[in-house]
Amino acid sequence: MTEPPAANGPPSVTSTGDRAIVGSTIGAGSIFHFGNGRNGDSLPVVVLLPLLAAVAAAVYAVLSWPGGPQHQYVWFYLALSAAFVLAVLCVIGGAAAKGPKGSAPAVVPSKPSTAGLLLLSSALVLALLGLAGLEDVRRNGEITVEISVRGGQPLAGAVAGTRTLVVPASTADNVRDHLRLALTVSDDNPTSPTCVHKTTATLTPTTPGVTPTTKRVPAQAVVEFDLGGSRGEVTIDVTVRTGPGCSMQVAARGTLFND
Amino acid sequence: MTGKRRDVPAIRAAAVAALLALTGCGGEAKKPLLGEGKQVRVGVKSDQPGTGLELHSGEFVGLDVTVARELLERVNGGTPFFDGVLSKNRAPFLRNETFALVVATYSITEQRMRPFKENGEGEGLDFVGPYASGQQGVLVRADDRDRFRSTGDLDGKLVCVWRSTTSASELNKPSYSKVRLSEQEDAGTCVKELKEGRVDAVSTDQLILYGFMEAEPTLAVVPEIAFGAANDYGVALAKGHRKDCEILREAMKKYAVSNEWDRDFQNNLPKVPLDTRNEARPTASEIDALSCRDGVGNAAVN
Repeated sequence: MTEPPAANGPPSVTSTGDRAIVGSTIGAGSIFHFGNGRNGDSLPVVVLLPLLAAVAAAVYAVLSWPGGPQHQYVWFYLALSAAFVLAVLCVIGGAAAKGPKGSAPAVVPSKPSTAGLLLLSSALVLALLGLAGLEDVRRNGEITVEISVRGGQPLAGAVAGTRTLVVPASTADNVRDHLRLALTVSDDNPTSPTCVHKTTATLTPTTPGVTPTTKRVPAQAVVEFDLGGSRGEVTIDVTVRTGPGCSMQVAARGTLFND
Repeated sequence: MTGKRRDVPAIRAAAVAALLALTGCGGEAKKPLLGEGKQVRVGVKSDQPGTGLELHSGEFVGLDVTVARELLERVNGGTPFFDGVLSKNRAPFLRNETFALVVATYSITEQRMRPFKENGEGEGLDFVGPYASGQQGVLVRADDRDRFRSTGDLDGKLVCVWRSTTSASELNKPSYSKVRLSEQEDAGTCVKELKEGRVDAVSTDQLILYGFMEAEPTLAVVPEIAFGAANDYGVALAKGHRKDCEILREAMKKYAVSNEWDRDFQNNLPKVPLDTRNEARPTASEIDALSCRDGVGNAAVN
């Protein structure tokens, strides 16, 4: 039960009963912490906020992971890890400020210290920075794409023939202006005499707008192509030349990226 | 002082471990195989005239034997001690250190170069080479020589091959489905069957067949019949001796372009035609692509 403030002097609050509010004087700007009066395991929501934000960011990242090479996520990992560390420090600091478990106060008039505020805001900022980094990767980062090989395999003979590498059409989320293609031409049978060191491949994009140059490369090579804004399926012809009697397999992996 | 002294071995061990980790040789480094005054055990074939043949007990001749001697001499790597080795024992005898080197018309393949795995994905060998290369061919009775002009002439004929050879797997491909195969245990049996008229031809690496042709004047290689991917012969050693391997590789690159290579090839395989010999000669870039590696290197592209 709360009495009206006295006519003179600071307002006061008193209460009676089984779970009475302990404390007699509350200053202007004080913060109320309501507890059940039996133990000290509840924490202020504001202290938990950075931790909740970091957890939310992690969950969001897991659910919407853009994929692609790991190196582009270094800043995301660093920011989120730091946010977690700072958020945990906030919680520990909050618990310590609240006093030992089972201590009496259920309403603690506390004003966060400058260090506490700094920790809290840093943790929030880092969690948001992590999310922003993730969004940047989603919009501009590298995306791994499966490249299929059109035509039969293996390719046999000195001029082993031409096959077509097919890069699938981009979805709205993963339009990029460059393709990094990792080509591998390997022995059809690794227990037979090797032909890899005698093998070269000529790559010729056949999709309009894609870098119209022909590139001659060894059996294991990484080549970059300017996609010229192409959003549809991209095709690249690969002509394999190897030794007489050789039998080869062609495979390719692709990464889309913005320059 | 005592404390400092106690720390020294630990620091040294940590430094060695870090160095091994940095060089990628952790747990792999083994004793050097080569060195002045060392006895170097070399496994060679004992039943292949021209490439590896045991004339008398312990006396071996052939291109493989000559290449081993030449390389060891060039790197001052020790005195070779030759012994016969069967094809199936080449990799295990290198890994268990029965031999330091095997020079036994040993084809370089991706699978043999990979680090050893029990499931057969890798045999854990380093190669130095190639020192010679050649496709598969056929050996026929000299009297029948004119009956064979192309691989099509093998259709319906009985061709002897020995197990686990490139020829055996090549002639089992669908494109040679009309060729009848007789699989035997070794080269000697096939050559005997050919001489006695029980088979029409013998097939294996053309260079090996030229060696048999030199030893058996009644037999002849058909130069026009060459098929399959070229076998690249390499000097094999167990992984863990990269430094020895690299020393031998540099010596091999110099040997391959020297007159000594021509001389050794001519002395051991005199029946090989000049164009086949030229094709058998390795280039420095081929030696770089196949030597001292865990996987095959790239072709040089200008």
